[in-house]
Amino acid sequence: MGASTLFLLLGLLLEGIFRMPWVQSRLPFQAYGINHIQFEYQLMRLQDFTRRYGAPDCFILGTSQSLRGIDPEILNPALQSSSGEKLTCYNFSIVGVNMSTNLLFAEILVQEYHPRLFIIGTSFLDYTTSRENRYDPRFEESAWVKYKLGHLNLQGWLIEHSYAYRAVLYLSYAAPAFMDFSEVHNEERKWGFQLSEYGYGYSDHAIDLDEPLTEAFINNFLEQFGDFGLSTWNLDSLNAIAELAAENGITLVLVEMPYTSTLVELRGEDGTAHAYSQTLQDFIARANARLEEIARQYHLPFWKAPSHLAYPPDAWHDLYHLNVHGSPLFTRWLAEQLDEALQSGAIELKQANKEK
Amino acid sequence: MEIVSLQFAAFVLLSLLIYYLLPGRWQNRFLLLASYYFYITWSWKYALALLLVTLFNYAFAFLVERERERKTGLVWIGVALNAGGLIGLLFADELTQTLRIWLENAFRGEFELNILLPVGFGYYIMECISYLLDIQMKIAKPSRNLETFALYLAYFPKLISGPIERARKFLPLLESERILDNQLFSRSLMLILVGLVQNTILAGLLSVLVPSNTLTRPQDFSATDQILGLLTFGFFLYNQFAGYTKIVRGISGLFGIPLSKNFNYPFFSKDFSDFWKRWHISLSEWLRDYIYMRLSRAFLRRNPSRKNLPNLFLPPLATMLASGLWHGARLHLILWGLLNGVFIIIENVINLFRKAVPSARPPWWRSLLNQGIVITLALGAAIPFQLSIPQSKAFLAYLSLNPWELPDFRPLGVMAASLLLDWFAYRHDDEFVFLRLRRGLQAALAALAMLGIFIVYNLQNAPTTFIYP
Repeated sequence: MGASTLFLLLGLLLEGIFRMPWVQSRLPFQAYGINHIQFEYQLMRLQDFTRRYGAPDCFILGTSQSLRGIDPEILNPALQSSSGEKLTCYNFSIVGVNMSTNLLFAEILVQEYHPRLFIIGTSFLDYTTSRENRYDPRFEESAWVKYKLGHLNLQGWLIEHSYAYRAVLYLSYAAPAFMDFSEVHNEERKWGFQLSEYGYGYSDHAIDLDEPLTEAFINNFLEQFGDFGLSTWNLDSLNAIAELAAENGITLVLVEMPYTSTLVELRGEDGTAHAYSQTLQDFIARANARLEEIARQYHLPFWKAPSHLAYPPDAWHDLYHLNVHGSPLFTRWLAEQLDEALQSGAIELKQANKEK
Repeated sequence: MEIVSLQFAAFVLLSLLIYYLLPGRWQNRFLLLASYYFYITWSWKYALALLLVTLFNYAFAFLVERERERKTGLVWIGVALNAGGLIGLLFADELTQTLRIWLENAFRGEFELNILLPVGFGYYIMECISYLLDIQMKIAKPSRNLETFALYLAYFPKLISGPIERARKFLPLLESERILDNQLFSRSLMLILVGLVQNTILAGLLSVLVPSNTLTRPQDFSATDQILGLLTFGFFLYNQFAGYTKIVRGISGLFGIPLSKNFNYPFFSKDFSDFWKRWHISLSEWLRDYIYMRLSRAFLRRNPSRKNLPNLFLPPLATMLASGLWHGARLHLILWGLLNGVFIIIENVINLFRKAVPSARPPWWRSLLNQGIVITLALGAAIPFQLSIPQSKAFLAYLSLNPWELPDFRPLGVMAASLLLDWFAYRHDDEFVFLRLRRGLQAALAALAMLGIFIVYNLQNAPTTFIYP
């Protein structure tokens, strides 16, 4: 009995210690037990953002393409001037996740922030069969995600409310690396970007687009498509996000994220397009047709990535990710599309939640 | 259902609640049902195998009792069927694994080939053999109560990994009234907590701090890392198994049924024979009573001299070879048994030239030296215990080739903590020494232990880094 009381007191003492700002400032991020460090940084940034600017009423969802391609710091002022009302977007795109995982995020964000607008940055890359096969179920299985979605569980409750428990989880991330924390932080370096306070992933690394693609890259890339069938699971998840948005009166916009023509042509070292280039273009056309179908079904705008934008030569981090030089151009174009849609009444935003 | 898991904790708590609500005559019946339920969570086939073994030995015991005066040797049929079942399954398991690997290499595909070797089979078969032999030696009587006998074999705290209990001691315990007094209660809780400290904190930290492939991929490490890996393996195995046994002893104590001690601070052994009196005691004692002593008695009957050579050589060799075989039908485990047998023989020969009655207390440096030798030899023999013969050869070859570098000192700290924990109880010659501490200190240590268990449990269950597609 005495030991249990002392254990609880010790736990409370540790909780107090880990809540101290001095201690907090020394922890690089809050661990949510998923060990997707970008996601966990992203959550921390979102909480900081909310403390500083209030709850965002617009979220950008997607994967690394939208994370690196849409900068809310450029989008927000443009949107405010056009719609005449304050609209604050936060980029909550997470590297490497499926559309089904984005559905989970959307549900959590709806419950927590009651947003007015979702912008989903997507492309054909989200609907390849390999995206399905490489699915990592840990978001879905996470005790914290379950807790946030209303399934009460002790671990989820501890993760949500206890700073000390999150510190233990942070400690545990070093366990697979034999408690070598430098390995944990190496992960951040592997991303090749940094997160802005708006959740945008920026990098100034640029590739030379004139460089031909290596055979290894082409083979690896084509492997993602399998038999070039569309991932119905991810398309269904997009449907579910559209339904969720409709149920909650949230405006949803689908926007195709840009990629280079070099990627589509698969121009190899001999300077000619790869034999599979046409098959790939057919796949892109089929994926976009399905996205258009979903957009029609739910009366959503689906804006294809513009081909007319004159990206500077150093605009690309790699063949399908923009960098800090390319994303402003794309973001401004997106702001123009939103502006037009709002002005023309093609999309309408629900009234701002006064309680926020 | 794993023993160190939250599901098992919930199962035990619920079982305890029902157990103490039931009248005494229903308690064994309930424990039997709970034990079979526990075993079915592993596999219903395991439970079926246990049931068949139980029915066979229950019935066969009466035949042995009836025939023992006539000395027909019927008991050996029972022993052979039990031992043959175990050895047959061990070999069949090994053969199917070899066949599976061969098929996979030959046809470049995956093949599902499995032989049913039930978890804990080796433990309850040993109990059955000792039961029949004890009846034949007239030191035990067949159980008249099938329910009690079935519970003796199936009792869930000891079912998976022992301790191996003898029927002549355990059956009367099951037939007597359960008394859970304050002493047994506090001792049981202490055993569970210390067991968790060993099993979760000490073994857990070692598994987290040291790569598991230091033994199997020696080419990737320095010689110091190899030695550290070997030390880690020894301390990990000890803390995991000794901790496990303490946990199940503690749980059993809460049901009012004390189980035998299985480890007695083996790293403080004064010689190799002493080591085997302290390591996996219930198995060592079984092998001693039913193999070593029987052989030794047979040799001494012919020649009662202290220098009877067959008696010096054959009983330890046969005992340790049987121990190797019990651990698995593999050549490297037989080699491990052989090495341990040789160590005991060397010790027996050296003892021939020593005084029969040793001096009262050896100097501290000599005790330390002896302990160092025992640990070194035991760990040396652990190489073929853990690795196949080609892997063992590679390990030793790389040990001489690899460079010597400064090791990671953190695992050594964990090993020192393990020794300190044992030394505290060893020095007082009381495994419940923590209960002698002041109440406040006891509570503080227990709270710290609980915190440590909570943290290391989370470390062990840490998710690997997310691989970004």
